[in-house]
Formats: sequence, C-alpha cells, structure tokens
Amino acid sequence: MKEREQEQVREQVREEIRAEVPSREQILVMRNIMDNQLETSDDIEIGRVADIEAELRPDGRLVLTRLMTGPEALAGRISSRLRPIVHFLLRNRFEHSIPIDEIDGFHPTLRLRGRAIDYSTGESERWLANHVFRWLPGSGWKEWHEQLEQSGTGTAETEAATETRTEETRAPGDAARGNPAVASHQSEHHSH
Amino acid sequence: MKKVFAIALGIVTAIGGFLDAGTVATSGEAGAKYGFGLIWAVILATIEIILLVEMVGRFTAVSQKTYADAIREKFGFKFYLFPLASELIAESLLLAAELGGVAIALSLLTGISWHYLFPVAALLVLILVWSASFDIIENGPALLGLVTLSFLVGVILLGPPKLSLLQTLWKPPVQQGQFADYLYLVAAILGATISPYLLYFYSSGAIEEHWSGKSLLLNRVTAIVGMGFGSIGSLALLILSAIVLRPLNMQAGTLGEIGLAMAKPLGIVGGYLFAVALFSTCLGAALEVVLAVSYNVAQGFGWEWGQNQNPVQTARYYAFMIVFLLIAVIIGLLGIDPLQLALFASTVIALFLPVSLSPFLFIMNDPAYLKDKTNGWFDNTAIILILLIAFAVAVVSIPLEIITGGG
Repeated sequence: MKEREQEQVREQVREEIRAEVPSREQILVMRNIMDNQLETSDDIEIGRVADIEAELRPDGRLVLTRLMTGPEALAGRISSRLRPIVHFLLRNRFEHSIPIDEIDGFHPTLRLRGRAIDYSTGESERWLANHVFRWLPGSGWKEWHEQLEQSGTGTAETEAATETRTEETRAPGDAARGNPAVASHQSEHHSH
Repeated sequence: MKKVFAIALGIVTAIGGFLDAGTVATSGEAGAKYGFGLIWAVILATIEIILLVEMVGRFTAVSQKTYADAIREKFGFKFYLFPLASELIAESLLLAAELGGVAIALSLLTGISWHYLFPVAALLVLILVWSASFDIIENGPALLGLVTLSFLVGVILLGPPKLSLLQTLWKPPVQQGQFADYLYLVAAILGATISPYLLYFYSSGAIEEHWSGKSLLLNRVTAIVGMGFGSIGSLALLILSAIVLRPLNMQAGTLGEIGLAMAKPLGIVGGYLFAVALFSTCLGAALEVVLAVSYNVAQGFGWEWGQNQNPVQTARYYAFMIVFLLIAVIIGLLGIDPLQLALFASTVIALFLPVSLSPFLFIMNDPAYLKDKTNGWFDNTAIILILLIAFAVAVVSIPLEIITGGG
C-alpha cells in the first residue's frame, strides 16, 4: 500500500513536471539538453549528457544528431588537450552515444524511448552488478537477475553491448576526417 | 496524524543528529580554552545552518531536484568539479575524524585502544550503508543521539556559573598570542556546523522520502525547531567544558578529555553517557558523510542512486561509497588524533564554503526551479554574510595557526 502511494506521488510529480515542458521552439541546447539527466522508459537513470554531436547538412543547416556520454566527452569539456590523453588511457571503452531521436521528451530529465538495457550507456553499472556485486552477500543480485530473466533480458544480453539503440563513439577527429561537414559541438566554446 | 508524526520524527532526529565529531571537538575545546567566549559563534552557525537546511529542503521539495543535480545542470560540468573536489577533500578528512570518534567512543566503553577499534568502526559503517534503508540510517543513530540531551542535564546539575566565567560571554579571554587560535576555533565551529555534506544529504533525503510541494511545512519545522534544539547539545557541551575543564587548565586536547566534563556532574554514569553520545553522533555523522558524498557523485554523473534500492541496482553509487570509505580509513590509519583531525577538517570546510555554497545563491533565486518559492532578501543576505565570514576567518586563521604552532 505504501509503495502504491509512493508511486502515485511520483506520478503526480511527473505530471506536474511534464506540464512545464517547453514548446518545440523553446528548446535550448545548454538549458534543456546539455548536462541533463538521461532516464529510460523503465525509470532508470543511465547518465548525463556530456556532449552533443551535430552535423552540418549540405543545405547549411546544423542539425543535432547524437547525445554523447562518457569520460572522454567530459574530458573534452575541461580541456581539448585532456581528451586525447583520456582517449589513450580508456580507448573509447566507456564512450557511448545515443541518437537524438531517442529523446521522448525535453523535460528537466531527458526521457528516452527505450529501456535501460537497450542502451550501452550505463553498461559499467551492469558490469559491476554481474561481475562484482553478484558475489557479495546482501547485494540483491539473485532477485535482480530473476527479474531481468522474467522480462526477457537475462545476463547474456546484459553483458553484450546492445547496439540497437547506441553505438560506440568514434575517436576524436574521425568525424571530421570522415566528413568535413560533420562538426562536434564543443561546449568549452560556450559560457561553461 | 501521519503528518504530525512525520514532523515530530523530523524534529527528534534533527536534535539527535546535530552533533558530530567536529561539533563535539569544537564545542569542547572552545569551552575549555575560552569559557563562554565562543557561544556567539555556535549561535551564529546554528542560525546559518537552519536557514541553509530550510532552503535546500524547500528547493528539493519544489523542484524535485537535488542540490548536486542543480549544480551540474545549471553551471555545467566544469564548474561542478569545483564543489565536488572541495567536498571530496574536506569530507574524506571529516569522515576519518567521525570514524575516529566512533572508535574513541568504543574505546571509552571497552578500554581497548581506539587504534584497534578504528577498522571496527569503519566496518560497522560499511555494513550499515550496505544493508540498511534510508529511514534506518537517518533515524537510528539520531534517536540514540538524543542521549546528548544529558549534556543539558549535566549543566543544570552543575548549577549557575561563576561571575568570572559569565563575563567571558562578552569578553572572551584571549591572551596575547592566542588570537590566531581563537580565530581558528571560530572557523572550525562554523565549518563543523555549516557542513555542506548536510545539504547534499538533506536534499537527497527529501527525494528518498518523496517530499513534494506539500512537504514545505515539515521542512520548515524540521529545520527551525530540530536544528535549533539540536544546538542545545552543542551549547551544553561548551558550557560543561567551560565550567569543568577550564578551571583545571585542561585544553580538551582529545575527545576523551572532553568526556571528563560529564564526569563531574554525573560521575561514572556521565562518562558512559558521553561515550554513548559520542558513539551515536559520530556514527550518524559518518553515515551521513558517506551517503552525502556518494549522493553528490552519483547525482552529478547521472548514475542510479538511492539507499532504498539494492546495491546491485545502484552499483556505481555503492562502488564509489566503498572506495570513499576506504580512502577515509587510510587517512584514519595514519594515526592522527581524531579531535585534531576533526578540527582541521572543519576549518578546511570553512575555507571551502564559498566554493560549496556559492551555487546556492543562484539556484535559490531561479524561478525555473522554485517557481514562486525563491529566496527573499533576508535569505540571500544571510548566505552572503556567512560565506564571507567563514571564508575570511578560515583564510586568516589557518596560516596563522600553522605559523604559531597553535591548535
């Protein structure tokens, strides 16, 4: 009963927040997307937007294409010199990107259309759960794993990077080398 | 009825959870060294923490965002690193001090050296953060911490202070060469009471407990009444130290020495009461510090977090918590006296307060988060004043203290 009441309160708060959604014309990159929380359709928080990739179309339009997450993108926000160092150390292992059309709504939290398992962002969480915490008493791994099995997303799938909705980030400069029209949005050029 | 119970519980836990190793150390040393000459600092710090806690609770209840969320989203990742770094440095020292406080309390009760009990204290904290729900962590040690009200009993039993001691209230007995030490204690008192970890913990707790716009009354009463009455323990300990330790020229250089102040009015029972009070308050504070920093990191990086979920569902949050606890243990195992560590940590916190709290000024005035519940001029003025005072005192006192070899 208590849980149901709590869920009702949560839903009420979400409704109030949705009422505050900006209209299409009012969406601002820094305000409504950059650094905002990413939340999947099953209410799992998988990270924050670290950077945004944009594409310069032949017709001259600059179009936002992908949300970037991961330490390399964050390093690039601190300093452009830091990014290659982090890339050398981490080799893109923790970099992920999500197509921008996965965003279901520009609320204070960015809701994504898929479930947490559909995105490789947040994979480190599942790795820790399956390789470290499963052996620790009281971690709740057994119940969690059973739940995933029942919902059809067992360990095998959780361990594999799910590529249906995300793809590994290309190395810095690849986008420009591959297509001179592609630009990467660098927030350090902005007020942050 | 439910609301009344929630308010009552909020007040009670705020009272019991007010003290920690930092406030015990600063109150005890302040009373022993300067009589009543630092009561003003305790009162000032209490007023400030009441305001800050009310503000952060209001912010979270209305916006449904935590303080860390707001810093990252409003100021960006680069800026977020500054309060994060200051918190990691200051709170790792403070956590080591709190664990030391727990160890010393156990040492007072068992007679075993606190050095051997330090890992036991850390293990106890680890077990609790791993397995206990938020309610148990927030309420358990705080309810036990109501034992701190025995300090007030001790003060009453000792009777009114002598006139010469009473005069120190408006004329602090600062001797030549002691000014740096006096300022150092002012900074430590401010830092010990106005700890930013409280804001991260309180705002995250508001989300854990599903506060909404309807919780504003609960928030206000908890902040004002709870924190207000909570400072009674701190003031009572200062007065006890002033009455008992100062005439004996005891400088309250260790937490155990501060406990002697309870022995005079209450005998051996007073000693045990002090040990239990120290145990519960330091344990509660250790839990809050660990959670607060973990909340900060998880929220700042957008990870799943929450004490009411299984560790496997919030793996990165718990993994960080364990690493942070380990760092504090390593600092503690260096063998630095917990009281000295608590004083130093509190002063460092005071030094970093502008970094930790300046985002507050902007966030609390943003109607996008708070709608019509933004700060008024009084709240804004209060924040600015305390930031300036705490920072100025800390930046002056720390170098002086090092140069003069005081503390």
